[in-house]
Amino acid sequence: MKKLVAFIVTIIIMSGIDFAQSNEAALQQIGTLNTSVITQHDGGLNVITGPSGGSNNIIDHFGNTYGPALQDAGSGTNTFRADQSLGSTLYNFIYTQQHGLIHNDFMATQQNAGSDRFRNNQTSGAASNFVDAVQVGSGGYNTAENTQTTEFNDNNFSLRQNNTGTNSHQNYALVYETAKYGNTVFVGQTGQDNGLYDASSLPGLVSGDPSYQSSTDGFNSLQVYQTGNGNNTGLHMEGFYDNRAFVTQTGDLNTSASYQISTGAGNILDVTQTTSGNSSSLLQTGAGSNIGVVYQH
Amino acid sequence: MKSGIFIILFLPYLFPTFAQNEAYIEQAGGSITKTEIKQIGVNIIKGIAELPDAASQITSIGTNILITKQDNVLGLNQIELFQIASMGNYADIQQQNGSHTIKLSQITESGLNEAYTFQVNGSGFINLEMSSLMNNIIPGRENSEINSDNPGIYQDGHNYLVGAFPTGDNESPSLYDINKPAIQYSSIGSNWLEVQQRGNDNYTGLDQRSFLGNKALINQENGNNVLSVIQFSLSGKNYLYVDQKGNCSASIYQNSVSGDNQAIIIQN
Repeated sequence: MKKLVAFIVTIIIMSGIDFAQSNEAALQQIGTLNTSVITQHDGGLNVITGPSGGSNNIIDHFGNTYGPALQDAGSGTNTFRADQSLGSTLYNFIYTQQHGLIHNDFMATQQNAGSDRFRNNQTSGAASNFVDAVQVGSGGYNTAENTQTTEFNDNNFSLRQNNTGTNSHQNYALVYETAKYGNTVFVGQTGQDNGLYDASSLPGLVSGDPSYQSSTDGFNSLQVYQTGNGNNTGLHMEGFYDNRAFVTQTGDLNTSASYQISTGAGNILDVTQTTSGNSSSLLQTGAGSNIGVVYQH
Repeated sequence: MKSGIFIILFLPYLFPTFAQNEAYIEQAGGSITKTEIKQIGVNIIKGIAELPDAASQITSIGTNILITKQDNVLGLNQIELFQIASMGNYADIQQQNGSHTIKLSQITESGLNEAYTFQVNGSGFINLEMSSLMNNIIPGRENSEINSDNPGIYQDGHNYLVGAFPTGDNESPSLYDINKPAIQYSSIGSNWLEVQQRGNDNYTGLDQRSFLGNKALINQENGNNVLSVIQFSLSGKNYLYVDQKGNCSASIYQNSVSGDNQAIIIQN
């Protein structure tokens, strides 16, 4: 019986069966209304990028070099949908760049037993940018990097990261928003070692400032919920009207550093940190009222 | 001894040998040029002269039609065809059992290029070039607009759908270069293509360029799937639907100067 099993195993190995297939999609769209819907199932590696070349290449988890998937709408609208959540996958990776005069819309769901990562860059000439993303893992890293720029309207970013498995590691998010009017961010992170700041310790990620919001004529709003041990939030807000930040960190070893400047109104910071090893620093400069509430226990 | 004689007598029935069928076509003129061919054996359809090597249908005032079915249990099914017409070209090519090759070039000044290919029970190679003032279409046989069981192009072996004819004497699969995609060019109309490849290795290179828009629906199943698509439209919409199962690679470039782009990609 053992010989039979060994024989079958040998045959399987020699047959070169690839249990970890890969799905790779490279995308470039140039038009008035660009829409892409991409679903990737059951890949050892699920990748959505563009062709390599140019100056915007980045390196993925395995050292491969990719350029961004590109949507250029000129005077129109871009819509990007990606679902990398179905079946068994070891690594999900999305790298996109959207440029449109009207608005850009990015929605992604990533789920696997390994690492999830996306990097998205949106620029809008006259309207708004939207991001709604979910990353769920039971191991590895969840990493989200997003840059939004609009010359006339709002930026909106929503991210949920959950990494709670036995071999789970960090949730990282880095958000960089620049708008004429409002910037809105929601980040929910559940796992071990959650960060809303520069995650340059990971390969291929940018280094520099903490998450950043800048509004020339409007406001900035940010909510972050971090659950797990080792929560870190670094925040830099500059606005004309109010800067509002609500930071909730639950677990041990929490760190929050916030920097708020309002040239036409006030600043609000509300920080809640539990359970032990809490640290919070705050710098507020406002033309109106500055309110800082820090609750540690 | 008797049994030996018995075997010798019945040997042709035990191991049938097919004669080679060769059809040479050169047709020119007339409002409608139509040919129907059915071959069973080692099957070849090509031109009479060495240059051009391909069979040809040429009409300056009408339409070309070719309908053929090739069936060879043991070997080769091959067709090389040029269709040039003022009003339009139509080709329906079915190949089964064997190793299949289709080299098809359709050129029309003011009509419609329409083609259907069906390759089963063997590896399939297709070189395709379609050029029209109006429309180039390879829709599903039931005129579907989504991948069906009966698409315009069907292949079930080691499958290649590419473009310009390979050069050189050795036309090995390695010469089917992604840089030479299958071509659909329309000056003032649109392009439409549906493909289903079900084999161990599937390879499609497609270049669609038109004024009014391009549409491609591509299904690749099993094994290693490679797809490269270029869609360029001046004023219409580019639409691409891709469904891949196996190891999947898809490279997509869509450019619509004053229209929209839509890409739906499913990779399993």
